[in-house]
Amino acid sequence: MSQRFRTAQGGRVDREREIQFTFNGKSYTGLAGDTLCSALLANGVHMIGRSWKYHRPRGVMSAGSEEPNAIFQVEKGNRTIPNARGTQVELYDQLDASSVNCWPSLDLDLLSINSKFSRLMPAGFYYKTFMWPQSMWMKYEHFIRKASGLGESPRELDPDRYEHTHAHCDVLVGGGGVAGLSAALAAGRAGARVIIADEQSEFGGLTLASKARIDDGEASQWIENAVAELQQMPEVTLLPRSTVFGYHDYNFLTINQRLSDHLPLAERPASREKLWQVRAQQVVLATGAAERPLIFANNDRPGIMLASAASIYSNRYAVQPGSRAVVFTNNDSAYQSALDLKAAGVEVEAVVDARAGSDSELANTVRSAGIQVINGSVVIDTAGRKRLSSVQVMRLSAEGSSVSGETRALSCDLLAVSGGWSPVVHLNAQSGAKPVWDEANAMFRPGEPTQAQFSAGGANGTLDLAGCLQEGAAAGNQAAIACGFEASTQPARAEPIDSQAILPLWLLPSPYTPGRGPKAFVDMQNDVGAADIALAVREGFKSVEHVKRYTAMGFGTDQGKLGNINGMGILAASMGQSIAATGTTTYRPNYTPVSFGAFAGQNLGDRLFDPVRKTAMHAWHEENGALFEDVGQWKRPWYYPKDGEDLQQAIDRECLAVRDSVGILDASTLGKIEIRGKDSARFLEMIYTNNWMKLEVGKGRYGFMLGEDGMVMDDGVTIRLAEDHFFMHTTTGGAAGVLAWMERWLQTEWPEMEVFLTSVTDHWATAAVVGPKSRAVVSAVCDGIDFSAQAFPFMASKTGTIGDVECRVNRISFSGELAYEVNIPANHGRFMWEKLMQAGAAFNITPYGTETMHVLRAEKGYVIVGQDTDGSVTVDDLGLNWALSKTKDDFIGKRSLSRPDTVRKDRKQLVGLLTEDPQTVIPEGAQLVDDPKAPTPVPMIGHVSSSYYSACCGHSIAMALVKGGRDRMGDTVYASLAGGRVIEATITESVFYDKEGAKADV
Amino acid sequence: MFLIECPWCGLRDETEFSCAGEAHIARPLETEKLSDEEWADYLFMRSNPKGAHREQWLHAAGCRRYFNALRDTVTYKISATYKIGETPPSEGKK
Amino acid sequence: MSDLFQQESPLVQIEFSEPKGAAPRIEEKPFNGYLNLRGRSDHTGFIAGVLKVLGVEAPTEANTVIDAGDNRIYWFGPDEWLIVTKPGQQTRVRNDLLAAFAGVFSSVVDNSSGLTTIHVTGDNAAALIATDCPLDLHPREFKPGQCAQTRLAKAGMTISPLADGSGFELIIRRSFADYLLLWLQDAAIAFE
Repeated sequence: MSQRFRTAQGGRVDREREIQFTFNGKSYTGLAGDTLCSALLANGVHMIGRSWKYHRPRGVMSAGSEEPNAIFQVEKGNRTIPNARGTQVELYDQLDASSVNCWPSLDLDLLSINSKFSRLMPAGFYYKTFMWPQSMWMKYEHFIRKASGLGESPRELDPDRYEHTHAHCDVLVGGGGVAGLSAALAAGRAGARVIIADEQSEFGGLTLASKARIDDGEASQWIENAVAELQQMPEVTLLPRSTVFGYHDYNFLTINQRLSDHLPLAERPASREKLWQVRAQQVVLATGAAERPLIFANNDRPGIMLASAASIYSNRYAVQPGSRAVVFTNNDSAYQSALDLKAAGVEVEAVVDARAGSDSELANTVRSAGIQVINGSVVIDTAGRKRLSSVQVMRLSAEGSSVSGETRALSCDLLAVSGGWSPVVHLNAQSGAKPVWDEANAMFRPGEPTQAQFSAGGANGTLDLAGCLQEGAAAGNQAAIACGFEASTQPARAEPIDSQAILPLWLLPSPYTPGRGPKAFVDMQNDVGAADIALAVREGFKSVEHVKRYTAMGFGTDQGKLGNINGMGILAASMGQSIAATGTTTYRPNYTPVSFGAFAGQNLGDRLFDPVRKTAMHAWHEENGALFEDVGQWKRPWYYPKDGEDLQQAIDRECLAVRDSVGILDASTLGKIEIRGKDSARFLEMIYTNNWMKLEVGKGRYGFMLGEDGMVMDDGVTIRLAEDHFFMHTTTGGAAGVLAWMERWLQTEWPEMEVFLTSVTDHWATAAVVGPKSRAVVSAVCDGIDFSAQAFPFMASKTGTIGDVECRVNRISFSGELAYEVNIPANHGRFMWEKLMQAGAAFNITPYGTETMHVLRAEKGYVIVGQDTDGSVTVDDLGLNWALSKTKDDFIGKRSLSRPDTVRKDRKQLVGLLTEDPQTVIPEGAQLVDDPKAPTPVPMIGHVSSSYYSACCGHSIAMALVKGGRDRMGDTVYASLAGGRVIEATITESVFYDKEGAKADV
Repeated sequence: MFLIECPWCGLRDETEFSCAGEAHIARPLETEKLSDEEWADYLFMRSNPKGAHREQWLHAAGCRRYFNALRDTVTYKISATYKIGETPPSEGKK
Repeated sequence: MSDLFQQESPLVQIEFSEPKGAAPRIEEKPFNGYLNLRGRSDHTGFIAGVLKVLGVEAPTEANTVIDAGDNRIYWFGPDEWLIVTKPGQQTRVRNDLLAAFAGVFSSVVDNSSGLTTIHVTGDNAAALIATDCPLDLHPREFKPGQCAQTRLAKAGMTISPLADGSGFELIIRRSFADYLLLWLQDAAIAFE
């Protein structure tokens, strides 16, 4: 019984290519060119899923992106797609689809019992019922999620690639129906760079399903010619299967192009989707119009679909969407559907038209075709369990507010419904415009654009073919002209259609008592009925945005494309006001769902998610077993474990090696800025807290930078290379920020200062050679420098050579040891490093990483900006007042140091901590309390900022910021940890090792 | 995503820039003579207008120049950009 | 002059291979000299100094690059330029400039190890770079003689079209070079 409902001829399917697919485990056959839905309908499968809340049987409602019901789980495992719209899933060989939201199966759904109690589950049901008591929500939620879920998210790693691209064009055309094609032709012929994107597999839009004629030929031929002409234009890019899903500021639009979902799994290329980020000078929105249904009792049975969808299935997919049809409408367009269905061999029982009369040319053609037209009547209810079996019709009163007379039952398995057309104004609205209600035509039209933008065709509320062709060409011409091209393309011609006005209808009159009758669904995906909206109004919700949130109308994966306009109509009526006054909900990106993969693109994983910055010695560190730590974007050696050492064992060994002999640290990541110009010293006086005017050439000085709020921002050593020339070091993480900060002062506040700044962070590779034997090592490697203590004192800087490469050596220490930082242009970095390793071999030179660096400096009580400070710490809080100039009138942040908050006595101050048990290391970040047994909330007096086990000291050491800490030496405090654990510690000063500083002074 | 006209480099994508907050806040001279209130006003108080806002931007990934922009905080339209030191255009100007 | 055996490119850990399919060719032009030049372009002493050493005036038109004998000068800002020299020439050029600028507010800073140059060539060169560069690379908009500081993925770069129209030159920072090459090579898979 394969494809029993396929028509004998016609359509845009390839009858030579049969395609096998499965739905809910059962095998079916379709044709190339089918969508999943058209193939299922060709096989007579109408019930394709159950609804979200009440588990009612549901069928295919539309033939496009507005589909609320026919959503599927496509494929299994790592390529599974949840909630795919079957109306847009192109059929491919071995496609595997299943219904979402049925349990245990589509036919036997145990939760359909919900349907029987639907009156007891109105809007807000879940919130009202399950949110109390609050503690139980987690338990309820588990069950509710199972009962009301849609598709299932993939649980495995996505095997596909996703691409990104930026693109620029003169004219972006969103939508490739006849209006869009006309616009692209006009702009393209003028020479403009054009991108035209359409969500369907082929260009042509609704006209692909039309038998109309354009320019004296078949419309489909015109479309083919137009596409062929555009393909010939080198500056035109055609993007099929591409949805313009976001319209942002400054004509920045995002397009998701689907590259492979239409292919059998085995034939798919590496890339699944491509995200286009387009900057367009001009935009033409030709996104068409979408038909909306009518709202009556039981309007959701399988077999009820949009009239336009019935035409599309008949004409484009060569499928009979039913055997016996009733067409129900309030406007002219559905008459064409009656003709299309008849031509496809479907028996058309009647056209039920709510309007009292209809005598347009189209209506009369329907009558002449022998189809019964029942005017002045509406469908008031339907019957049929898993498929529509009949509809009930009553007379509509003249003013349209009630129904009367006999109920007339019409037997049918297809009800083709048309409630009018809604321009797809989504992108116009996203771009900042406010859609405008057109009362006469019962539609929101695009609002006045706030960006360089035109709307054309259906998207502009123009529903006839001739008008679409005309507006499209005009918009294309105007857009091209606005970009500076000459454009004068004449529109293609089509026969004008004589039509009769629509009779706007929202909630249809019904014989049932309000709120008592069967559900009339507005948002089918979220099971929101007309009565739910009325209930929301009765409960006091007045704004359309609030009603949306209370009822969940429009919150589904379809974002209310089908139902929202009807919902607003019903809301307006419930509130007794106009639709214009009620307004729309906010249209936001994305127009249709977009994969997370598409947003991520190739920015994934350890290597490409974020830049990995490497020093010149990176390969050496890798080859020598370093483990790395992320410091900002840099990879820095963390420690170098040997022979199965754990972190602590490696750190102990590295620390002792430095203190006893010599270690070597890659310090290349420190920020480095050259400062040049006669006002450099004066500038540094403002930037740093200490004095710089009198610093000798060839000497360096440690300094703090403050924010204007007085808080420590960065620190480092700056060296005077010449009277007008300094070399600044910043923290690794602060480099870019400090440069921008200093540029800002120079460019905006002190432009008269003669100072130039140049970042040289990447130019220099730096090795810190640290420990008692460091002098012997650097002496052996660097030529042309006298390393004696007299000639090369602490904080001095000298140049020499390594091999024949110039190097700079600074005697700086961040460990309390004798130490030299050797700098060389980074292209020679590894060369320098290996020379130092060779020379150090005699002393068992030990490479060490950031962890040992941290321990060594903590033993000396040296702070790390960003670890022991957090943007709320002053120099005084750190106990380092010696770094604040007493003589300068001003520096950045100075005035803040006397603000009342900065001089508070109970500010947190940096102190040392020694634990009661010397082996216990307090976790960094631990909160400190005076009395862990105090009633909650226990007052917190500070926190631990740095904490390590010190092999040199033989006990753990910690630094902490404690309220009034400097006056509390010897006090006992407690680190309060998760799970009630408490560590006792004593407040001490924060220098733990070589308090006299003898070791560096050699 | 804004398109911002750097006074030097022309129209560039927003991702090349960083915003540095309200413009035309001059650092006071003789800061030690200011009252706590006057200093706090300079330090913390910003106009935060609904509508035209003069703000500083840095062409961070480009020429590294700071410049000023007149941006509407409601529509996000930048009606003018101008170099540091130049007179700001009048706020209503489009 | 440095001994070439003693130096390594920032891309020492990158494997360059022949492009597959329609993927563009990506290659490094290592070890150029890079000098950051600062000065006031309306200062006669500065203009004269540049002219004397490089034979041309530093370009004052934004986003342009000019050839100056063996060297190229990129506009970086109203008071900032990048001079790219042949490998090994940077110290001589720097010293000549410093001498010519005696007493003139200026700065010449050697950043030769801080940058490297990549050429991306082939039919899809622009498409590859456009993967995550917001600049309009269309030949109507971006021609030889123009340059731009912009971003590629999440790192900065200076890009200019190659004179022969075969593709683009990218000048990138040492510490980001490895990331950017891995990124470009990954993006190139789409064209294979």
